[in-house]
Amino acid sequence: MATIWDDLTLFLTVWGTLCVYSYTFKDNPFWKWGTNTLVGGYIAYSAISNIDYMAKNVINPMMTKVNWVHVAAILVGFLWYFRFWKKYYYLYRYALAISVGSGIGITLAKSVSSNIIKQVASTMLPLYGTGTLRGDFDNIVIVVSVLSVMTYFIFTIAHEGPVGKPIGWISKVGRWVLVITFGIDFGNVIAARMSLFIGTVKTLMLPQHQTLFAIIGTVIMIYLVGTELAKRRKVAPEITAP
Amino acid sequence: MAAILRRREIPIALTAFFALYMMIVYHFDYPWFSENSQLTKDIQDFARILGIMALGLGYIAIVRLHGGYIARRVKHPQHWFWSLWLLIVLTITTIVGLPIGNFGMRSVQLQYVYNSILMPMRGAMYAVVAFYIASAAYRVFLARNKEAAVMLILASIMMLTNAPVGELLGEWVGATGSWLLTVPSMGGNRGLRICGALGSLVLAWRMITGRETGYLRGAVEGAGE
Amino acid sequence: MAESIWTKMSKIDARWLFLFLWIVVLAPFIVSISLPMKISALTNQWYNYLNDMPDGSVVLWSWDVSFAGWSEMEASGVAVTKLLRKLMEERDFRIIMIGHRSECGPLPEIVLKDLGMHPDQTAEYGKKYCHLGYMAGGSVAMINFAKDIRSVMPVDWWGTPLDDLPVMDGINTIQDIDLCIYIESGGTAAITQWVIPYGTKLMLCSVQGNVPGQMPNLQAGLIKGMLGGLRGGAELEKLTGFLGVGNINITAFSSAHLVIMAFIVLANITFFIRRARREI
Repeated sequence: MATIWDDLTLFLTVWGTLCVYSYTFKDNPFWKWGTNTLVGGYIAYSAISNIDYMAKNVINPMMTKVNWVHVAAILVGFLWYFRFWKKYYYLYRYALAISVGSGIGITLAKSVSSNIIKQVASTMLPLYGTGTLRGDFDNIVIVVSVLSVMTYFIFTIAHEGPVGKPIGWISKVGRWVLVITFGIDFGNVIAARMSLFIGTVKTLMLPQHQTLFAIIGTVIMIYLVGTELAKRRKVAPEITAP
Repeated sequence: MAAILRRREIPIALTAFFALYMMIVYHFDYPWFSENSQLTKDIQDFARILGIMALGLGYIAIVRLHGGYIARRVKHPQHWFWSLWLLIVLTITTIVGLPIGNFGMRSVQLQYVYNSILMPMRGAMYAVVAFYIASAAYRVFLARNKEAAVMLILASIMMLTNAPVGELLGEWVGATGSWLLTVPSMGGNRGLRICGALGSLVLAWRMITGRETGYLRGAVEGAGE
Repeated sequence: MAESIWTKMSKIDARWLFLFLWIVVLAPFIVSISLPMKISALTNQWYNYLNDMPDGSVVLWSWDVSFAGWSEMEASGVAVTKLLRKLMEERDFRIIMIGHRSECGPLPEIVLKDLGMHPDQTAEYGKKYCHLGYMAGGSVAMINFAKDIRSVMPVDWWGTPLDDLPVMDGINTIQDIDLCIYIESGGTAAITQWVIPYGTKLMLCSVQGNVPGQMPNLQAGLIKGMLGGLRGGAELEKLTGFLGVGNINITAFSSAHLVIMAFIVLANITFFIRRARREI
C-alpha cells in the first residue's frame, strides 16, 4: 500500500528533475532550489557512505581484534582536518603527501605496463602476410596512426632541415589521424549525452509519473514564460521611448 | 618545532618515499620485500584508510561556505536562504544516513532520499549538457575548414552507426563506423594513451624529486605562505 | 539593411532548439515505434566470451556507475544481472557483486530488489550470489582486495560476515575469480590493479563516450569484451531476450541523433549560404 512517503518520492522525482531542466530556459528559483537540494544531499550522502564503510569494515572488526595499522591510519587521518585551522594548516600536508605518494606509486608501476609496454607491443603488427589484403591494410593503418600521432607531439624538433622536414610531414599525417580520432570521439560523446537525457525522460514518462510531469511541467513553463514576457514588457518602453 | 614542521621538505620526502616504495616493491619477490609481504600490505592498508579519512573535507568546506553566507546575510541578501535550505537538506540526509537507531545506509528513510532527490536530479544535472550539445550543433559545429569538415562528416557517420536509424541507410554505415572505430581511431587513441602515459611519468618524477609542489599549496583564508 | 532569413536563422534563440529536442525525444515514448537493430560485432564478442566460460565459473560483477551515469547504463546493468542470474541457475556460476563508488552500494541493491533477488525477498541470497557493497579507498582498496578480499570487505552490504556466505567458500583473492565484469561511467583502475599484476580476465560495460578510449585495451587483449552505452545494453537485451529499458529508449536515441544531425546540416547550409552572400 502506497504511503505518503511513496507519494512524496513520486512528486519529488518529477519536481526535482524538471527544476534542474528549467535552467535551460533561464536561471530561475526552481533551478536554485534544485542545485542547492542536490548539492546538500549528495555531499551528505558521500560522507555517510564512507562513514558506513568505516563503521562496518574497519571499526566493527576492531571490536574483536585491534588492528594497529588501522588505528595509526585513523589517527594520522585526522591531520586532513587541520586544513581548516589557520594556525596549523601545514599539518594537513603530511596526510596529503602520503596519499599522493601512495597513489602515484600504486598507479605508475602498473600503468607503465598497461599504457606503454602493452600498447607498444600490440602495435608490433605484421604489415604483410596476415592472409588477407584487408588485414594487411588495417595493420598498416594502425601502425601509421600510432607512430604519426606520437610524432605529432614532438615539439622540440623544428620542422626544417634533413631531420625536421620528414618529422613535419609525419606530424601532418598525425594531425589528420587526430582529426579522425576526435571526430569519432565526438560522435560517441553525443551518443553518451543523449543517452543521459533519454534516461531521465524515460523516468518522467513512467505511468506513475506522467500526470505529475504534465502538471508540474505546465506550471513551471507558465512561470518561466510569464516572467520572461513580463521582463520584456518592462524593458521595451525604455528602448522605444524617444 | 613548528618551524620544522612547516617546511615543505618533509612532505616532499614522504611523497617520494611512498611513491618509490610502491613502485619498486612491485618488481621484487622476496618474502620480506614484495607486493605480498606483510610490510607492503600494512603500508597499502594504511594509505587506504588514510585516504578514506578525508571523507569529511568536502562536508566541512560546504558547511563553512554556506554558513558564512548565512552569517553575512546582510551582505548576501540573495544567497543566504538558499544556503540555509542547502544546510537543512545536508542535515536531514546526514541524520537519516548515520548508522544510529533505525537509520543508516540501508534504511527506508535514506532510500526515499536517494530515490526522490539524488538519483533523478543527479541524472538530470548531467543530462542538461545534451541541450547545450544540441545548441552547439546548430551554432558552433560549422565546417569552416578542411579539418572541421572531416571531423563533422566522421562524427555524423559515427552517430549513424550508434543509432539504429542509421541501418535504414544500408549496411555500409555500420561497417564504415565500425572500421573507423577499430582501426584509425584506435590507432590515434593508442598514440594519445602512450603520450599521456609518458607525460604522467614525467609529472610523477617531478613530484617525487620535489620540482612539482602545486599539490602541497593549500588555500586558507588570510594565511600567506 | 534588413537581416536576411539566413542571418535570422543563424541567430535563433537556443530555447526553440531545446523545445524541439524535447518534442522529438518525447514523441517515441508516446507513439511506439520500433526500428530494426543489428547486433554489433563488439556485443557479440562480449556475449560469446561470457557464454564460453566454463560451468561453475566465479564472476565478479563490479559496479562503478554514478547516479548520473545510471540513466545511460541501466540497460546494460539490468541485462547483465539477468544474464548472470540465468548462468547462475543453469550453469552453476557464482556471482559476487561489489561497488567502487558510494552510489554502488544501493544501486545494485535496487536492481536485486527489482529482480526479486534481495535477501528480504529470497532465501537464495548468499548461496550462489552476494552483494559486498561499497568498497571505499579507490585504487589502493582494489590492490588490497586483490590480495585478500576479507581484509577490505569482511562483511557484505547487509553486515553478514563473508565466511557465513556459501558463495564465498574458497574465494579469498582475485586469483580465485575467473572473470570480472566491470560496469563504469568514468574509467576503471581494474586494468592496472587487477589485470596487469594478476592476469584477471576483464570485460567492460562502459559509457559510449569511453568506448573509443578503451579500444586500444581491447585490441591489446587487456580487456576481453566491451559493451558500449545505451546501444550496447539494448543489443544485449535483444541478444539475450531480456527486453527492458534499452529497447524502450533506443527509438528516442535514434530520433535524438537525427535531430542533432539535422541541426548540423541546417547550420552548415546557413553558414555556406551566408558566406556566399558575403554576410560573414
